This record gives sequence, structure tokens and C-alpha cells, in this order.
Amino acid sequence: MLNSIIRFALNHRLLVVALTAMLVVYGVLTLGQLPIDVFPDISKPTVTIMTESHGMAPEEVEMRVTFPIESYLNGLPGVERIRSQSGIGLSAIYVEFDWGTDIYRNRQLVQEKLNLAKEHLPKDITPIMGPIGSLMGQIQQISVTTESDKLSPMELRSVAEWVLRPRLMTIPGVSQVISIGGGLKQYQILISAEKINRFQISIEQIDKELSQISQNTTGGFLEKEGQEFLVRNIGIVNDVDDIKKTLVGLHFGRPVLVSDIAEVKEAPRLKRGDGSFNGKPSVVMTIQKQPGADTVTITKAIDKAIEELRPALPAGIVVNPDVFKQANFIEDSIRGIQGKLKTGTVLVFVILFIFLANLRMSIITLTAIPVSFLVTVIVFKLFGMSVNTMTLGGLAIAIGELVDDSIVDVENVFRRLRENAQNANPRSILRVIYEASSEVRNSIVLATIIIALVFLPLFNLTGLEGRLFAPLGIAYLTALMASLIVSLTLTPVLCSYFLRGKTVAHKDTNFVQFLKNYDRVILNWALPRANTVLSASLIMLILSLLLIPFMGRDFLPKFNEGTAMISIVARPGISLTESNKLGARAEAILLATPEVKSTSRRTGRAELDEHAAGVNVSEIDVDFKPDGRPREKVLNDIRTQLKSELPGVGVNIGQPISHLIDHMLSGVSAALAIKIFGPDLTTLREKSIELQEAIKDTKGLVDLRIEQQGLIPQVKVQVLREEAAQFGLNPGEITKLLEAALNGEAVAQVIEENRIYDVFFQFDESSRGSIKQMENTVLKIMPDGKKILLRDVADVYETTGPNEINRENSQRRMVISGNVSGRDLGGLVQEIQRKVQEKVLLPEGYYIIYGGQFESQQAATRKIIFFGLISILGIAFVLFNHFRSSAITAQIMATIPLAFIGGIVLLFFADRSITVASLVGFITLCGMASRNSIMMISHYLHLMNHEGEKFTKEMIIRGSQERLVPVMMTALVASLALLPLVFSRGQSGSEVLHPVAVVIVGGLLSSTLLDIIVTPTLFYRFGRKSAEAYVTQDKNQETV
Amino acid sequence: MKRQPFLFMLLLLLVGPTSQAHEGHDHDGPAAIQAPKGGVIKSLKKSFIEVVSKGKNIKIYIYDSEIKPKSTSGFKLSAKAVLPRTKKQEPLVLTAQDTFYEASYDAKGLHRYTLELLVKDPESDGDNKLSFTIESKR
Repeated sequence: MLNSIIRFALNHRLLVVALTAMLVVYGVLTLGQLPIDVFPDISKPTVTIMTESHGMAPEEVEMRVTFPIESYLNGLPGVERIRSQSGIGLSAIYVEFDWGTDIYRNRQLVQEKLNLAKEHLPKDITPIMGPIGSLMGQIQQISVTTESDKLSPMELRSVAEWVLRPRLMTIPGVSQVISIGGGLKQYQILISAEKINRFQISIEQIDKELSQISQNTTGGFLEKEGQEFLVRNIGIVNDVDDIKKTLVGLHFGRPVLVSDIAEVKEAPRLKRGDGSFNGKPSVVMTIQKQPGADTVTITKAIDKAIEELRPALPAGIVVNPDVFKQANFIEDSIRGIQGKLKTGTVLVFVILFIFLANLRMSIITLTAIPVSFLVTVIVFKLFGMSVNTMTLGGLAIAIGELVDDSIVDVENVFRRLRENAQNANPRSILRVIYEASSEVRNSIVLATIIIALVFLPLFNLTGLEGRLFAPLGIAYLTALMASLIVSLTLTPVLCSYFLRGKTVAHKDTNFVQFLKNYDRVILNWALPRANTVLSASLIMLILSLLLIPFMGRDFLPKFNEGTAMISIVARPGISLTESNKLGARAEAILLATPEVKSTSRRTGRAELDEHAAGVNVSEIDVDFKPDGRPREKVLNDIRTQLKSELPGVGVNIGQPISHLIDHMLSGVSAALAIKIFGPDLTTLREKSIELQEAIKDTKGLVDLRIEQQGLIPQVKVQVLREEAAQFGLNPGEITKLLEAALNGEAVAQVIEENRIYDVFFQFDESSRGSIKQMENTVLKIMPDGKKILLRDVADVYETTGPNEINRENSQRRMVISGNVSGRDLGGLVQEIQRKVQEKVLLPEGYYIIYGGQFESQQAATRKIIFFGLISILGIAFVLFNHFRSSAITAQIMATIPLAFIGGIVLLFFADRSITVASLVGFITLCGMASRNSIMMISHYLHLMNHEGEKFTKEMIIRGSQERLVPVMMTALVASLALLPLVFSRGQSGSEVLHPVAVVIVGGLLSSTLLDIIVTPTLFYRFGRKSAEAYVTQDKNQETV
Repeated sequence: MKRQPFLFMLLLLLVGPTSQAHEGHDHDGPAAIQAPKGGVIKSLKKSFIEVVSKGKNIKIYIYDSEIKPKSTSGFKLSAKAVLPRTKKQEPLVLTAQDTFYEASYDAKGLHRYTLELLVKDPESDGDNKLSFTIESKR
């Protein structure tokens, strides 16, 4: 079949050229349409359920809201983990499904369960699913500040909420815009307890009257003079005066208006979060994109929209769309990788020209690169894949292999054409090209099959690593398959056009001649000394393996996002005002650091936000200037300063995307999460402190902190049932009235132009500012005029309670988290586990689980090793099937460990850490290394089979010399194409690809150098019997 | 003139108890202090007291200023449960262990009571009175 393809291509040369031209044009057009991102979509399918719970305490939220919902969700098909956070008045449940499940199906399953669960929730409490988000969903932050004293924070927020947000939400691809800071405007009715006492009006009555403060109804239709008039009954309030004039009751027959008992004003709604930019109060808007949407395009559309809105904004308002832009990171990363691909291609051309010293041959060979790349682009489009650092990385790794297929073909065609030209009766050029291409096609196809097999472990990786590396594998294999087809079709056709006439008179260059002579000298020495060569190789392999224990273990290399995310966690129970002050102090420290360009802070939780942070938590996004000290040093300085100047405050320094990845892996925003599970919160707190004490001095462990699940002060109003019953009050009635009076209630809405504001009532500060005042709240006025006060029917007292309760898979849990600095994660975790086992004794029913990147690293390593072994067995089977000789199979397989020598040594000196990325490098190396060996041994067999050579030393030297140029070119081309990535340690976008490149380049250097000596020596020493058997068998083989 | 005895009595009422005990001062643990046993911690002059209650069982831990466990020897501690509304007081029997005291109290279905501790710390002068709200039904 393969011969037919080559024959068809040579018989229809113009068609092949035309089809290639069409593919190139379509590929170029498609390239411009592909979405661009930093990484492939690495979001785990997660459904978030947010339930606002009317100011309930965390224990109540846990038992009355979270627990019933969790009970229904347990057992849903595909659910991997359910995490929940029960805070003050809010339950957030995160249902994590298996990778690969369909998010729309998952949401449907969850919705069905929520409908059932709702019946078991307190009245008026409705769980709501958050929008479909993605890990890389937070694409931009915008600050809205003012330079004018005339604009209040409330006006700033109104501009953000009613001018900017609606416009941004219309941009295709934007899924949510969340604002924090400023103040959400409300019309507030602040009732004086003293005045309602005076007018003898109960809360019950006020609640009832105010619920009707703003109502429109319809009056049907009025027919008049043959026309129909719509009758509208208008009772809605339009401004403060309307509200003031509303009746709330009667006192001795005289109407009591709202203005008699309350102050009415426009004021900001109670804040549970605040924002700032560069230390100044600000509204910070976070924009989230829909999954799969193109970040760069959306960002450009957002910038354009803001520019269009700018002239219409009130004077003095400053909108800064550059606070945080993921697009910058994407563009930097993609630009970096594209630059490296370009450099790699140029280096490939230089190598080709040095070895071939023939422009035409070089151009024919190089053609494989763009054509294969553009075919890959078309495949990306068909499979809905994006251009990202991983897919580009796959192409970068493939460059060497892409030209290799063509090199093998062009080099063989060239050699045969040269021989043909020297014949007395030269045959037709097309015939020679066909035979020359057919001659090498088997080894090319075999090598490609083996490389495809080698990538088996990559496609079996699940989790984040699978999501990350599978696109790299797809890009690599697609490009390789494309290059195989190119080498069978386009390359012979181009050879037929360009390698004619004088070209075929070309001879080896002096450089190539020198290499071949040197190869002869080496082989003359090595071939009779097989034992020495093998022993030396084995010793080198053992020495390199001995380096492994001295290397650390990490999940993924550290990212360099150009920005940092700093969490400041104050003690639970701190007020928003105090937490804001702490956040502002932290910002001042950061802004005093010379390398810091800007800071934006979010303290607490924004309305609509799925990230249920307490008011004690501040998250600061820090942007850095491009120059200055190394980032690691700057971050360490910042960490030290924050800890010394903000004692007792938890500090966690990370990066936005890494932070989200950590969160996705373990539900905790740190590299290491130690989770203690158990039923009792007090014991969980006790054990987590014990654990923290046990591990706090571990070297390399930084940002160690216990999840802020502490006790916060509470005022409890315990309804006394017997006393309440005496006055005809039931507990539910009392708590409902108290909620309205103390927590407040939105009773109506005021529409101003296109803006809608709540009308909200609650007691004023002087009526609920102390326990005494609360106790004196009038709940009811009896027919005899006796006022029933709260203290008559309830015990009001100060106590403490948890600020939040976190659960995982239906169990309460407490997390001790930390990051790593200057040490590998694997070693650190081992030391921590040892210390915990020695020092922390857990009572019955309590247990510890270690999570975070460490967990993923171990799982990924296990999978890569397991599937690696399977693919090695697969390679052995394919080789045996082809050569029908276990000896030849073993000889080819023996070259794989030789490749590992260089990979391990270079990795040791470059990174000193083994990550999933470097393991992927070793996988790729297996294929590349065995490929050279296959080509070499196939050529020996070809010489014996078709060119009348016997199994002699001279045949081995001839075969090795003839394969020397392709082998060296392949190795050099592949290595040089990846060289820019080897030198890009820590550069944006190259973080994951750098270790892959280090391993491949190191491995290729060692395997090529050793291959030139070891493969011929091994074959000469052990291959005679199997080679002769192969040749005899090949000649006698019967085929059907 | 009639106001003077009233003001004097008020002054006496306010100052009097504080000269005997330190109730009324802010005994809450400083913001950054984590209660090592997960309970509620309050501070004395040179030490900290943490109360952990589980069901009927009450444990009272004593720490030095560095929050390191401190021996009960030398410490003088008495405890009573004060019931809400009725203000009825019931003394508790404390058993001293190495670094903590233990007691048991059955609140008989009440939602809470106040644990009042009278502490004599050998390292500070005077008696200290601390109150902890115990919610027996939690």
C-alpha cells in the first residue's frame, strides 16, 4: 500500500503539488482563526452551588443548608469530590466531577437533585448553580477610581454596576463581571426603636405596612369613545420623599408616617467586601470568560468597549483596564514559544545546509516543517483545540522528527540518483526515486509506529497532567503523521523536480567526509572490543542513575506569570473595617518594594462571587516591573516584611494561575494541603495546632498556616419557648421579626432611569448597637397596651462560634497548608509525614490526608511508569513482529537506556528536579532513541539483503558510514530545534516545556554519540545469527 | 448636693469589685492567639486560661505567656456555674491534673450557663475572675 502511495504521487506530481498548495493556503487561513490560550483547557468539570442563607450562623448553615444538599448530591454518577464551605449566611458547595464528563450533563444531574433538596431546606432558601466557569476564567481586572472629592464610593460603584458592567456583559465570551468595593446604593429606612415605642407600633406592624410600600397594580381596561385605555394603579415609590410620606400605622387616630419613626436616606448596602487599587479605595471589577472563549480577543473587545464608554463617564472617574490581564501572559508566552520555534527552524536549516551542502536538498527537506505544521493546524480546528504553549511545544519537539522523515528519504534518493548517474545505462529518474523511497519507507513507518506507541502513557494520564500533556502528544503525533505522509508523497515529487542534472554530481562535503573517516577509525577500534564498549556504557548508565536520588520531586515546574497573588488572612471575627486596614498596610508594604508596579486588593467577598471568602481574607494581585531583582528574592523579601510588620496574620504568596491550579487540585490555594478529618470542630482545631507545631520548623516549608476556621464572637438570642408562649408568640415569629429589625429586609425597589435600587429597612444603629438596646426591642403590644420586649421572651448573651465550617465528602475537615521554597515538594512531604506520624496522635474517628500538588505528582508518576512499561512491551512486540528476531529486538531496545544517560545528567545540572514534564521528556526520548537504532540496523539488513553484502566488519562500517549523516542530522536538528527551550528556564510560557526539552536534548546527545559506537558494536557482536536468519527468511518468505 | 452620695455610691460600685478581681477588663485572648486545644482562651497578666467543654465535661488548661502548658501546682482555681435569668450559682468540683483542671457539670437541659473562674496566679498579684459562656447543647 505504501509503495502504491509513492507510485501514485510520482505519477500525479502536479496533483500532489496542487493539493499541498491548497492545504497550505487553508492551513494559513485556519491559523488566524484558532483561539489562543496559555494552556489547554485544564478546568475540572465542577458545579458550584451557592445558597444565600439570610444571616444564619455557620453551624446552622452547615446543618440546615449544606448537609441536606450534600446528602442529595452524594452518589451522583461521576462525582469525584464534594467540598463545601458553610459561612455566615452563605453555603458554597463545589461538586467536582471526573475529568472527561460533560459539564452540561453534570449540571442537569445537579439541578435534578437540587429540586429534590429544596423541599428539605428552610423556607425561602433557594440553592443556585453558579455559571459554567473555567480555571483560567478570570481574565481581567479593571479598577474604577476617582480623583475628585465630589464623587462618593457609592457613585463609583453605581458607574461600575450600571454603566460599565452592562456594556461588558454584552461582549461575546464574557460570562460574568463581579464588582467589589465602593458601595451598592440603597434607599434605607432606619427605624428608631425609641420612636416606635413612643407611637406604640410593633415591628410586626411595620413589617406588614412596609411590605406594601411600593406596589403597582392593573385596573384592567376602560372603553371610551371607541378606544381602549389601559388603567394603571400607581403606588410605587420614586424617591426618598415618597418613602417618607408612607403610612405605617395609627397613633390615637393620627396617621404615623415613615418619617415619624425613621430616618430615610440613600446609603451603601452593608458591605461584606471591599476593594482598592494601588492603596486607594476603588471598585475592582473581575471579568470571567466562558469556557473555550478566546481570552485575547475578549480582552481586546473589553479595552475597546471601555474606550468607547470613557467620554460618557462622569468627570473625575478613572477606569484602568490594565490592573490584571491574563492576555498579557498569554501573548508573552505564545510570542516566546513562537520565537523559539522560528529560531529552531533557522537552526535546522543551518544544520541541513552544513551536512548536505546542497540548497535544493535542504529546501526539499525543510518543506516538511511548514506543511506538517499547517496540517496539524487544520486538525486542531477539526478537534476544537487551541493554540497554546503545550500544542506549540509539541510542534517544537516534533521539528527534528519532521525533517528526519524527509532527510532519510531525500538522502537515500540523492544517493541512488548519484549511483544511477554513474551507471553506464542510467534508468529513468522517476523509477530510481520510487525505488529509493520504497527502500526506506518500512523503517520510516516502523519508527513512526513506535513513536506513537511511546506516547501511549501520555494519553492515559488523567487529571491536570493529562489535560496538560495530551494536547502536546496530539500536536506531536499529528505533525509526525503529516510528515510521514509528506515523506511518502511530496518529498519524492519535489526530488523528481529538483534533484536532476548537475545536482546528482554532488559529492560529500569535506566536513561529512571528515566525519565518515573519523567514524571508520572509531568503529575499527570498537567493533573488536564489544565487551569494553558495553561495560563502559553500562558504567555510564549506572553513574547517571545514581544522580536520581539527589534530585527533587515536583508535580509541575514553577510558573512565571509575571504577577503574584498574595493572600492576607487575619483572625476570624475581625471586622471588615479592620481587615481593610490590614490589607491597606500590606499594600503599602508591597508598593514600597521597588520591583512592584501596581497592586489591587479584594477584601472579603463581592456580591455574586463564588469564591466565598470571609471578611478576614484579603487577596492582593501584584504586578511587577520587568526589571529588578530575581522574582524569587523579591517574593521572599515581601514575605519576610509582611510577616514582621503584620504579626499574627497569615500570609500566602502565590501566582494567580498557580493559585487556581492548587485550588483545583486540593481545594486549597497552596502547594501542600494536609487535611484532618473528623466530627468535632474543637478537636479538629486542637489537632491542627498540634500538627502545625510538629512541622513548623521543617526546612523549605513556607507560608504554613491553619485554615482560618476559628471562633468568632457572636451574640445569641435564644428564644425561651415557655415565656414566649405566655404572650402568644411562637419562636419562628420572634426570630422572623428580629431578622427584619436587626438584619433588615428589602421591601421594595426604586427605579431611576434604567437603574434599580432596593428599599431596605432595619433598626437604626442606636436601636441595635448594644445587647441592652436589643433586649429592649418591642416585639408586640398587647391589647392592654403592655409592650412585650425581647428580654421578656429570650435570653440575649455573648458567646463564640465558628466563623466557617468546611467539609469534604460529607466530613468536616480542617486544612493546614503550606508552600515550598528552595526545596523539592516530594522530599518535604516525606519529612512532614514522618514528623506527623511521630508527634501527632489522633483520636478514634479522625484521620489525615495529604493533598495538593504532591498527591497529583505521585499519581501521575505511577501512571507514567505503569503505562511506560506497557508501551515498552508494545515496542518490543512491534519490533519482533517486524524483524522476527528477539536478538535484533533486544539490540534496538538496548539503545533506550543509553538515551536516558544524557537526559538524566543534563536534567541534574539544569533543574535538579524530576517533574511530570521531565517524565514526558523521557517518554519522548524512548521513541527518538529507538528510531535511530531501527534506521541503522534496518540499513545493515538492507545491505545484506539487496546489495550482496555479507555479515562482515566492512559491511557494518559501510552501513554505519552511510547512516552517519542522517543520524547526526536528526540528532542535531532535533536538539537545536529544542535548544532555545533549554535556555528558557523560568520564562513565561516555557516553564512546562523547558524540562521536556532538557531531557530530550541531553538524551539525544548521549544516545547519538553512543549509538554511533554501541549499536554497530552490539550488532557486530551479537547480530550475525539473527541477521543471516532474517535475510534467509526474507528471501524465502511466502506472502499471500 | 443630693447628687453627691449617689455619685459616691456609683463610684464605689464601679471601682469596688475591680479592686478585688479583674472582671471587667478585656480578658479575651489577643487576636493572634490560637487556643491550643481548640477552645476559648482568655488572658491573665502573665498567663492564659483555656476552657474546653464537651458535653458535661469541662477542661481548664493553663498556659504561660508563651502559650506553653503550665503546671497547676501553685495555681489556685475555683469554679462555679451561674445559670441565666435566675442567676443561681452552683460550685464545681475541680480535679487538678498536670497542666489542666477537670470538672463535670450537668446543665439539665439549659441552653447555656456561665462558668465563672476565680484564679489566683502565683505570678500576678490579686485574684482574677474570668467568665466563659458554656453552651451545653451545642
